[in-house]
Amino acid sequence: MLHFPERKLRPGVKSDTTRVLWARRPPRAAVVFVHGYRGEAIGTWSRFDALLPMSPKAADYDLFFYGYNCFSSNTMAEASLLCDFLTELHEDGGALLRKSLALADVRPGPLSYGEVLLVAHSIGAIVSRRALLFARQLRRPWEERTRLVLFAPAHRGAVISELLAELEGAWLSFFRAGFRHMSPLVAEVAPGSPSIVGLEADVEREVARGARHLLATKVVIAEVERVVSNLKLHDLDPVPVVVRGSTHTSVCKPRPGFLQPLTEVEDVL
Amino acid sequence: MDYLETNFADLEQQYLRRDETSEALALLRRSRSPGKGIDLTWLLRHHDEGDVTDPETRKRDSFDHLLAAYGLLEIASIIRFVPGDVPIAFREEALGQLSHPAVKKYYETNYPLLLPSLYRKRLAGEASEDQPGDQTQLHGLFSRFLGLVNRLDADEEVETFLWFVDSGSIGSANLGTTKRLLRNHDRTMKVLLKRAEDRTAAEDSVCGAESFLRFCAELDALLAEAEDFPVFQAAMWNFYAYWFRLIGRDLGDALVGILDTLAGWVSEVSEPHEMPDRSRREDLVSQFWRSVEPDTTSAAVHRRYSDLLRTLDESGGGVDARAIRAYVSPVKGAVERLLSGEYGRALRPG
Repeated sequence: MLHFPERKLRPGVKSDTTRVLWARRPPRAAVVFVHGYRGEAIGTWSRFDALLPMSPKAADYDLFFYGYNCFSSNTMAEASLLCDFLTELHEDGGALLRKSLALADVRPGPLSYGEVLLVAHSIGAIVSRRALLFARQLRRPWEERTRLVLFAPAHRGAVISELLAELEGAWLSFFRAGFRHMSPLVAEVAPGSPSIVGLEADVEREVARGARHLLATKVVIAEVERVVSNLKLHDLDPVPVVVRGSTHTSVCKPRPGFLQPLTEVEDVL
Repeated sequence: MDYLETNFADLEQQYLRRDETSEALALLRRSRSPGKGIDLTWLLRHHDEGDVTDPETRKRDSFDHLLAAYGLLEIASIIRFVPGDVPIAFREEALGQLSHPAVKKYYETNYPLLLPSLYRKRLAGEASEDQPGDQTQLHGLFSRFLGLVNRLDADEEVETFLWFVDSGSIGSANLGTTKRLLRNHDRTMKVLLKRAEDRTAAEDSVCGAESFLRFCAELDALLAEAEDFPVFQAAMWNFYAYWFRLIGRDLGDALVGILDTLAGWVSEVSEPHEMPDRSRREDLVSQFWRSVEPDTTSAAVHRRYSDLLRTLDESGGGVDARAIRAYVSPVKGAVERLLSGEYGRALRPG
């Protein structure tokens, strides 16, 4: 095992749902997984938590499964909180390590990440890109040491009825009228909404100013997709990679015999 | 520290030296001091000997956490995730706690649990179970198991649901109120869409039931994957023996009852209309996305999306029978396998 078993990032904080697998040897980088609508820190990425630590390529990475409110909150607030979290990782990661891993001393040296790879699913892609835009505006020194890998990104919005229908193993997927529920987040991610249009314009503008890290390193899309549009974000992002036989939900869930989601991430480590 | 020593120290710190075990450890220390007046035999009695008060429940919970920690160390020992020899000071302390007459009676007679017994015998050098096999595979499965343990442990809604299953109540809320709420699918939907901080205890229990059933499906899948390692498989199942064996009948009645209730919602859906409704919805959504081109204006996209939602809304409420059927059957299978005790057979006495 190249990593310590999964645990809470902040053991004493009940409301914090972020989980972490600390690398056993001093890491050179980190991967932060960011889930989508009503997702769970680990559940959305089911089996990444078990399979990625087996990969020698991941040995030098701390693996964070970021937990946040992707239901009743809004993308702006959550992006700001994610930006704060990334700042904390860069500026005070050692303190996080010591609180979460009682044996922090077995990993010598200061904690300093050369790079943070954000791996985001669906609405998590909106939250992640917006977080990087905030980091740029705030002139965070770490902002250019980030890369994005996006699974089924919702950068053109998401259809709420299909988001609910695709919630795997969740009782909400049983209800045909659940989409009548409205929240700031649901309104924000509606296709054509000002928030969605604004994000695209902001990314385009900042990329033109040289912020190449706002472009995705890789975009992975589902073969059967009804929740989001598979259209590229103008000509900014790379040609997408398709996971055969996948849906919006399964595109980011590797399992034995269906390892492409895993290999797509391994390829960029 | 080498790999195995690091694993041992990490498990010890994470599970044994945690806040939740501190009260049990303090009570055990006090019970060994003369004249301190701690009657652990009474505190750890079977509930038939006398009703357990709320303050006693909190103290007993601490002992449950302590025994769970030793259970995890036993599983880790079975698969050689930790060294065969533990530090002498640790062995003496652990053996003292697990051999304490009141504690031993608690886990061997009052609420029989196998793993603490096995660990005591291992520490005493009497006997030890072992699971040969590929260490990488075994340790990977154990790591996944620890993840499941951690997530269930941190889920307060599951705690509420299981408390109700175990005959507990909070105010006027109990398992009966949970079941009554679930009979109405519209109310259930509203509960699921509520913010956690706005829910009542019965509503928490509904959400806890959903999460616990998801846990059952995940645990069942993990145990099935461990089928080549029967001793390890049985040890992991035994970690949850309180739920799946000791009060398995109550838990089974509750879970199967809930799944039957969900399945009962389907009867309200007219079979011939079920598929066309779903297919129509999917077609409408696909048509919408096809209408969105790179150069479509945002106003046009927004208008078409509003039209889509209006059309979907006209199809009314109710439930998706296909989604419920696809869920109930496999989850019920997982629950039945966990309750059958089959996963525990390699460590069954005799």
